[in-house]
Amino acid sequence: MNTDNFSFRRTARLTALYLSENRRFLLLGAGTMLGASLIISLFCLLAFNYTASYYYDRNVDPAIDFMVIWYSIALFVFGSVGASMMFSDLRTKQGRIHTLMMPANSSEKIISRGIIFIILLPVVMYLCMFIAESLRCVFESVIIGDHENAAPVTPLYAIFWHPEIMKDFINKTHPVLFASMWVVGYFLVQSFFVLGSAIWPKSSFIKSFVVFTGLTALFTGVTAWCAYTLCNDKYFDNTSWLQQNIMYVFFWLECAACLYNWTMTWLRLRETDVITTKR
Amino acid sequence: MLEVQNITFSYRKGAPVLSDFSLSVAPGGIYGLLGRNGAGKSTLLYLMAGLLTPTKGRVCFNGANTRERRPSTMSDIFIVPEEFMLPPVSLREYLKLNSHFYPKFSEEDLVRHLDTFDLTPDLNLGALSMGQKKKAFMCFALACNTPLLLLDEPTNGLDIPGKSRFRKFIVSSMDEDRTIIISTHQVRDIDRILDHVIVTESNKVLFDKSVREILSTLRFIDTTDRNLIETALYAQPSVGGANIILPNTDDEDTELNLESLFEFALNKPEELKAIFKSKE
Repeated sequence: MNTDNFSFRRTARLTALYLSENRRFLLLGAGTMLGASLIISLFCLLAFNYTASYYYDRNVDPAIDFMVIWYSIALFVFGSVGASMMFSDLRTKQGRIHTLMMPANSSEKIISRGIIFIILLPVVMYLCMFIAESLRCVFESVIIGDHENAAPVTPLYAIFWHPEIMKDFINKTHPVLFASMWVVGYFLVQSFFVLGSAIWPKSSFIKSFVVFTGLTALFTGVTAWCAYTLCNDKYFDNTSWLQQNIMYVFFWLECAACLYNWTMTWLRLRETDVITTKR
Repeated sequence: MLEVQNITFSYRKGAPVLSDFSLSVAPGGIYGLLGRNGAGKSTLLYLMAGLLTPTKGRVCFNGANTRERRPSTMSDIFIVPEEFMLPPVSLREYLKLNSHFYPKFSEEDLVRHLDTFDLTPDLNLGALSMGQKKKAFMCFALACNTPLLLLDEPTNGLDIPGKSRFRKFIVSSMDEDRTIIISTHQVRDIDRILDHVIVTESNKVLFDKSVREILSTLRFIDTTDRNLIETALYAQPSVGGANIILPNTDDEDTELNLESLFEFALNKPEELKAIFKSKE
């Protein structure tokens, strides 16, 4: 007999079921990520001349800054698009019946898809980047040949075990907090799109993007207006608790917003019916 | 035991599809759920399966509210909707991934059911026609051996041999604990296999009797005799005569004519009720 409590085994089975049923779509997504990674690396290959005199004596790959920015953008875009497709099968009546009739509770259904779109997606993105970067380094080395003063060619994935390169991109006072904020920020953006996917299974990405952008603009506007109204012409000596801990405050706000979005997604899925009623 | 308790449901405000509707379905047997277009048959099936939230009332299956969609309840209920989704994978892969969710699933039963429709387990679900998909899906549904199976227009899309085999297929899977509720307009496809007939109108059950009870109370005859037609409880014109319903005073065995009974229940519900009441 099936238990009503959360079951890891059932969650794993749901994950396997989702992967199998959506194999083509997921492979297409992985192929698109690989394509985007290859385009970024190909652009670096064509745009950066490692043997140019202005790169002499450089000890870091000159394309690193460019790649960090573009791979970050790619991760955010693919993460958001993937998250907005988490409940895309709810857009049809047949899909809703299939999902809702599955003997598993809402948490298991959400977590099983979360494993794919939240955990596996960055891993696949990393693998795509690994392939594209390996190819770029091979071709770049061939282009450079045995030029003596050429700038070093370092694949982007290598920065994870080269702290001297990594430190250029991370806040020097609070490196761990900065990295954590970046990671939680990524999950926060994804959680908005996951919630959007549960609310609007049709054209989810566009709708979520519009609402998310609107909310961000509203939040920024209200915050700026409040700051101007309350703090203009006032002197602060940088010693207040809030000013010293503002990064931590933002970090925990990000975590709370993320948790809120996932909870709302869970509630939305629990309340989803096969046909929408207007009463 | 499935109990629909005082359900009220509407898709739009002020237009209830079901209003204070109650129904009790005892375990075991094949139930035919009949009603006009828009009477809310599919809605009722969705409510039974917990796929819709009633405005008022609730549906309980073996004591559990189906709308809570608990895994233990959902593994006891299977619905075959009129239109459904099957992934483009092989049947074996489909079974490997889906059968775990239904503890009573039997592969042996599945092979037997597939054989009824001349299908084999080596199918690619993505390459099947709509009718073949329906057959394969119904075979899986039956092989899950859930105590409650809900079928919405199951014979739609089946070919002629498929329709006749459907009856054999359903009867062969029955046991005393299993309840199958079939909602359909194609009454001729199911009239011989039903144990129970339920005719619904939007807010009430017009008729709810077992086939045994119906046949011991009523006689169904196809006749051209004008005198008989005039004295019948209900007469439905047919080619060259009429299908009539007469009281069964002599315990005569006749075959159930579901179409005539359905028309009788819709057009003269009070008269039909009175006949059965007088028999009690």
